Amino acid sequence: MDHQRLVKDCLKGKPAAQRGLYEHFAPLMMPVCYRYTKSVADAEDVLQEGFVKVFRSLHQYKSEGELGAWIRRIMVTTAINYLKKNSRYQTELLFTDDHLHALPYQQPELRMEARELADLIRQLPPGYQTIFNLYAVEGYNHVEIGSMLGIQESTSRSQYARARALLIQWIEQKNNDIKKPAYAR
Amino acid sequence: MQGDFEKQVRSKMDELKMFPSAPVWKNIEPQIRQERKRRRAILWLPLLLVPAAALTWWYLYGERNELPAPTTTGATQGYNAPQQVQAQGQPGPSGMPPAITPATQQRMREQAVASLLSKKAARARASLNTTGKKRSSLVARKDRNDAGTGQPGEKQILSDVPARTHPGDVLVPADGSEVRKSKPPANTNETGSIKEPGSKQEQLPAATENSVKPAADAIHAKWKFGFRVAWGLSGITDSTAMFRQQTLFSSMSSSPVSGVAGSYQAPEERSTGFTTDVFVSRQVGRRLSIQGGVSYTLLRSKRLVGQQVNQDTAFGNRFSGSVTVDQFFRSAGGAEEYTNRYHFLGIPVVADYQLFRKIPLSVTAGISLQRLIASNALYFDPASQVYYHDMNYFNRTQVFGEFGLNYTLLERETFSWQLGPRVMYSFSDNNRERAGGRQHLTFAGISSKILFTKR
Repeated sequence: MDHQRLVKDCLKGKPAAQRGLYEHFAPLMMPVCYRYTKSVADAEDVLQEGFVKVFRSLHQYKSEGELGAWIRRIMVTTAINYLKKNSRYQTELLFTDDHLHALPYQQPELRMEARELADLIRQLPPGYQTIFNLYAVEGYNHVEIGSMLGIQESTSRSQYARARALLIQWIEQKNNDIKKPAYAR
Repeated sequence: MQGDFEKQVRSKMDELKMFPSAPVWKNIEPQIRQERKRRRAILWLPLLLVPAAALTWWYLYGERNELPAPTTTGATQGYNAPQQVQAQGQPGPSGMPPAITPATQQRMREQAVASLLSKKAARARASLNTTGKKRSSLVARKDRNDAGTGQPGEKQILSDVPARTHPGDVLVPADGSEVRKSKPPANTNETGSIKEPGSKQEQLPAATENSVKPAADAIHAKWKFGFRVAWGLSGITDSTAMFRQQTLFSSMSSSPVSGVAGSYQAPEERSTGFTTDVFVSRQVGRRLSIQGGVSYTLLRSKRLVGQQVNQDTAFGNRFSGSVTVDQFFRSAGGAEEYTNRYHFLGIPVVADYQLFRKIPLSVTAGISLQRLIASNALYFDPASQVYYHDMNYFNRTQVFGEFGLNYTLLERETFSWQLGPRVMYSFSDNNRERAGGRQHLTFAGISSKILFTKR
């Protein structure tokens, strides 16, 4: 798909191009929104808000970068803003300055489906979930995460360490369940 | 530093694809269409203002060029002509200075004074004309022609005298003797000269000087009239919106179906609106003016509603008792965007104060009494969990406050054009349901104002 052409047509206001851009990127962006939220309805709200932002600021898109990455950044920002605004997530996003936790050395094998892993990430408390997504999946460093969430870098590190430990524990548990014969589960 | 675990997680997540449900695009589409329409309107607005300004210009100046030239000369000629004879005594047809009797002088003087008073406004306009030179020559030519139709003996004097008295001019009485230079003695009246200390005639040249004072007087004319157009975003502020929004979200996240306790009233969002008014303006101070007129205002807001049902249905509420509607909208599953429109006629009274002496920036504040003349806005019936239109739900008469800034972009003697931001806020509750919380209509936009000076 020629993204440049698509963007140009969207900027001209062609409905087919707008629909085309949405249909191409929505399936890729929906998992991003899904990972940051706790329900599919919330994920769709974020996706909707994010795409409206994408179309409104499409003229700011510089052709040098990849369109998908640009849209993904908008989705992540929209998701974080959504979490901050939404009262259901606000209390869970109160980060505390915990002591630093050393990263566990376990490197468990991920034998599960992608959807299963996403569901495990979504089971993390919202604060852990957000920081894990930003660091492990999006690839932001802790300084960037700190400035995005308005927290200290050390807080981001410690929260990530806890999130990672928790997730690994769950993954290992899942792996063990898979290894066990059906009667032993 | 990210390890293998993170790489594995990222790789897994990149594999994941999920398809959102169909309503997501349905909700996105109208929002981006609305944006496009809004941008298009923003582009069109200045384009519409340009021909409007051009038309105004043409109307004012086009009409002016067609005005007949005044039939009377300027006051200086009318007044001085009988009194002035060429100092060097250009001879008349007979080679002698023409004889003017005191009676003739008196008559001419009276005519001149009358002419001066009656044509004062015409002179002021003539002197203000930007094509003044051309007009002056036309007027002078016309005057000469008029003078030619006068009494024999006056013709030469009127056609040959200079336009005004200058210091050093020699005035000649009827008998032709030199009487005075520019400042005559008080008792020269008897000899047929004209200047009398303290007399009306003596003050006239000064008045003539003042009448030549240009554009400032016209620009600061006391009465002006004009029209304003403001275009922007309108909506409703709702003191209970936060509560309702939270209720809405929490309800949606659990089970967004009708019948569940709690309100599904979707929040009203902003939409485009405009207001226009015609007014007269009265200058009450050097910088302060008061405006009053009539206005028409269209305010809009939008909200997501559910399925539309077209059937005659009777609803009971506290405003109408019972009201029968031919259509209503369900609240659950809100996917359709509905635009509420409020049409108001109003009487605005506005004070306009110029903030700085040299910068043409003024601040505007005022109030207006507005009457809701029509609306299609929906009322959310919490008992039935549906939306329907009931005019009795709304307060028909509302008091709006307004505030704005105006920057004068163009100022001419006959009109000026101002542009600036403007906000309006209804102090009155938009609905009559006290229990539902106070709702106030708001508007914020760009206002364009054209003021015409009354001639």
